[in-house]
Amino acid sequence: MAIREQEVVAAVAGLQIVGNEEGLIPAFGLYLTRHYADYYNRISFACYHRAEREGPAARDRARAALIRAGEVCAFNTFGGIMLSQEWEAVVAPMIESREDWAHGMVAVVNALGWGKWRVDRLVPGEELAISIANSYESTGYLADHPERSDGGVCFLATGGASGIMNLLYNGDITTRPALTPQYFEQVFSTAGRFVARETACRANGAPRCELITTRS
Amino acid sequence: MNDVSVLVQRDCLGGDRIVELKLPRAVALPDLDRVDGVVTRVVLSELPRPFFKLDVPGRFLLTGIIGDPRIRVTVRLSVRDRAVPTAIDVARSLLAGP
Repeated sequence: MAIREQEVVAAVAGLQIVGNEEGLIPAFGLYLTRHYADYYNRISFACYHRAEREGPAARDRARAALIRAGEVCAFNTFGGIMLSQEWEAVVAPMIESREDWAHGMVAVVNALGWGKWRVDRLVPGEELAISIANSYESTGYLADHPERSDGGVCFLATGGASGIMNLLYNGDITTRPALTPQYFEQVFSTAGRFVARETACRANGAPRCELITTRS
Repeated sequence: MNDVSVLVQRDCLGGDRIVELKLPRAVALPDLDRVDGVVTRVVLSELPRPFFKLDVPGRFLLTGIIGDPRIRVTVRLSVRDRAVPTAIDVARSLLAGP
């Protein structure tokens, strides 16, 4: 693997990504948000718990919607990052293969404060296994709620993981496509797209949250 | 200045405040000195491809890579309606030197 993660994390930290007088954080050709993790967590978990009380069908729809929100985030944020000058300056010089794009994206994630992601397995075009030592979603869940017997709660991370695979192997972010709504539908809604599932979660007592992404 | 081309104008909030331009030549380090009103200047020369970021509050954020002809200008809300002319003015100042 050609990606030197510590160098990426240090370089992204050196970009001085801060808010301006408009309250916006322009970086990577995007507007980033510096968000209270608890704000997102409490809204998403309240939604999920309400749906759980309604029954399995509502629960499944809520889970799917929250993960879809993560995929939309991945499309715009990860896609935007991989097309950015910052990526060209920091990550692109290390890239030797398509798989390095995935490792590079995970390295950037590890500079964003989302928890410590690790690529456990990447089978080109087939499977991505990521685990997270301290996802902010599971951390937030356990701060407010008792441990769950089942059902992971890392919805955004789940969508992020499938986003990486869809951008690389269902679409082709390396060809610098325009990140349009039409391209999103092409990459994230077609048959054979990648879907991630959380197979272990700290909210269920697991030591790490584990995300497995395969084709649907 | 006709050889400055607009590559893309968009932003991820459904607006058009980010303008990417291609200059007729690569940006050089001394070019950055010609941009007026810069309050924050970051040049990460230790990177394999040196990244720069110049912030002019109230007007724009200019980013790019030394040695690359492409620049990105993210304009502030107050000049949103003049995003492309503002970006081209920035390009003009970069290119004004010898």
